Amino acid sequence: MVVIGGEGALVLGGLAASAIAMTMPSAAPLVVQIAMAVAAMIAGAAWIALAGGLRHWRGVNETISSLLLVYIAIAVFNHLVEGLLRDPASLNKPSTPNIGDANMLGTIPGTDIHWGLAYGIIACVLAYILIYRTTFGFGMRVAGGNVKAARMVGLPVGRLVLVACGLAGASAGLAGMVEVAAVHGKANASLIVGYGYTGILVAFLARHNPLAIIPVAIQLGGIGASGGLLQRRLGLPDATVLVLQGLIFIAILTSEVLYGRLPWLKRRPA
Amino acid sequence: MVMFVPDPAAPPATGAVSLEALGMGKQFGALKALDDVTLKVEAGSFHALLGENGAGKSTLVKCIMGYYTPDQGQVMVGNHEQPISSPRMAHNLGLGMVYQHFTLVPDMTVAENLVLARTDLPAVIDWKAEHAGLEAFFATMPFRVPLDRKVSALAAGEKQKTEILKQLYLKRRFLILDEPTSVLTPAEADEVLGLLRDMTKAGQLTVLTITHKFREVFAFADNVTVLRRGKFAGSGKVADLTADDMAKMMMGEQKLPDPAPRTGVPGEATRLAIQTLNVSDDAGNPAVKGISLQVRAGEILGIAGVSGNGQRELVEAIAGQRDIKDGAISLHGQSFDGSRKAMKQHKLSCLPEEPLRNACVAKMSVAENLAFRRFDEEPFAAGGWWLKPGAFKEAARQIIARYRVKTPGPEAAIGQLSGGNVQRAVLGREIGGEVNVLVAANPCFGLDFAAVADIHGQIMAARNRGAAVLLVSEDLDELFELSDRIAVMFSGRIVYEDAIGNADLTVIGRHMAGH
Repeated sequence: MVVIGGEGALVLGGLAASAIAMTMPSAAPLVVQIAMAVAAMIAGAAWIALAGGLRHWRGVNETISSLLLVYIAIAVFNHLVEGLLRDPASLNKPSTPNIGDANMLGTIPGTDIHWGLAYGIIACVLAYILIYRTTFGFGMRVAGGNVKAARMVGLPVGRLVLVACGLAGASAGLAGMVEVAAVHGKANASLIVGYGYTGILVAFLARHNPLAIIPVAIQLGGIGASGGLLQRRLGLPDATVLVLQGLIFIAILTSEVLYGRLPWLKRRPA
Repeated sequence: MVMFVPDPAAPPATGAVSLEALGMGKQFGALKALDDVTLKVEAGSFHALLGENGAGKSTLVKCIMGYYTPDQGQVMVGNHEQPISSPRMAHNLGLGMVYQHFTLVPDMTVAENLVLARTDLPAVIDWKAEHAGLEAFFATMPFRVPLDRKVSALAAGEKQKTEILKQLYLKRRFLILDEPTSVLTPAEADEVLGLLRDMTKAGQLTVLTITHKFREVFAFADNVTVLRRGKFAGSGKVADLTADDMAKMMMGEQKLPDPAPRTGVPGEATRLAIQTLNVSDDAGNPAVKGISLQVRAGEILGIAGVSGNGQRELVEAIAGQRDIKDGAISLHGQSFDGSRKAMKQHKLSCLPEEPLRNACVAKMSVAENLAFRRFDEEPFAAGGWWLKPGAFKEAARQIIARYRVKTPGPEAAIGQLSGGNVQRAVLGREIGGEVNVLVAANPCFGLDFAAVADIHGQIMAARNRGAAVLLVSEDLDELFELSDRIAVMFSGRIVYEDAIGNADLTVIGRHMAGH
């Protein structure tokens, strides 16, 4: 199964996180942060589980449906941020109310890096353990690899699909919460900048290995962040980083196609 | 530019043409699909080509049509040798083929489908002229279909008629039909075949049809040629032959292979019971129609039948891979719901056909694939959830050694293994442990003799240990070797059932052909 709707879960996760923070103005920062994380994960999980449910019960292609759900998620996001959840003080750029400086995630001591990095690394390690070291992950891999084989050995394919989609959506939702709680302090259009789509690229380059995601994500994030520097120091347009990302992508795609097909690159028999 | 010079010896450009395929041979790897096969079809005759699955019928017609290049032999069209190296060349000689499955574009009208099939289309199509041409053509035809109707709105019989009209519109004079009636109702089949027979009688067309159904052979064909295991097995006038004669040609002389050692007699307890089971195919059409059967402990029930008569759906339903529409499957008298718990409780195992597609995850390792049945219990999972990779590898090494699976190692992806080795790996996984109920579907398809004997021995051993075995196979020799009882499935129903001692190949062959 290939689900590419992480952007939708991320956006709604960020929205849910800022919405829940609005309701608890006087709670302790840790409590607010936990509530934000939980709300974001629930929102993201429900959103992607929707694509999984459509797949399981209605036979809708999950890749397409999750992609289309992104547009609905963004529409819902805009509707709420410009209406019900709008901070009256945000004039030009409709936003939710600020979550308050005390509730922000802050930076890792001694660095400029916010704690979202730790969230990401922990999520990757947990995903790896879940997928490769638990029976549940084993069942997911079988059901994801071949539904017929999974049913033949009696695995509950529908439940596995829903839970897997839910977990994936929860991860994307958490990313949205981190984006709100560590960077913007509120949910607004700055959240919709395509991190979910970058996530597809990262997952693909990491060849779907959760541990490989850590270096690949840092690499791609670094390339993205270097755009401003390239502009200022070398006078290059900021699209340079897109070109670079595109080149990496093409190189990986080409090697995927040509893998094992070029006779002069074949491994010699020992 | 090369001037087109008409060959003075070429056959006349219209009317039925004769065809002979002489000494045809074709090898695929180690398999001799065709071995010195000769087929002679007279001009204006309706010729039937009979044979079991894998007898080489399709290979033969594909060689004639230029899809395959035969290793030996030659094709004569209208008494002239013709080197047919491509389908287009066959088309130019007036040879055409109608397939089992429709090749029309569903979203286009009949007229569009017919016109677009032509190879000489101009860049801009004058539809008015084309329509007039089609009307003129239809006026000469014994049957017609609505020209402006979309193909998707046509019934199956009309679609098949359109396929045939398309071939006639393209001025084919020799028509090959590959099981043309398998998608039609008997009434539709009779109509289409009757029309074609009338055209052959009128000398407009020669027809060669591949079929499994004796009824159609007797009703419509003039002559018949029978293939068996890639070899010519007989031919003659239909009027001179009986159904038994043809069944004998198809099945060969009644030589039964040496049975695998069979010990003990079937027990009394019914292990697998199926009650008026109905199952649909992928398109939602009924595939299994009200089947009931029982298999006892220590018994092998063989199910014979030409593929596509619902066997696949039946096996998938019992294996838990396909939802059942109604009816019940019970194991040891308890209703079976396809859950993992029930599979473990009743020790159900399956050997599906194409194991890589139906029973494995190609990207996962051999060790992981071998543990599909037991990955959530000790020693594979500590506490029922924490996987122990060492246990996977250890268990895999044992199965690999015992079942002689050739693999680079337990860590290799199972998709890299050859078909026979995947088959042996799945065999090891499914019947390496204790088995109470085993469902096998064409377990030896595509394997060499040694591997076949090996797998037969394993299935028989499982039976001897007391397993109830349901063996679905298209290979009658296999069924006769292994079964205690044999049944025939035709068109989704069990049409025959008897103890193997009473079974007769000829009778079974006739039931397989729905006779």
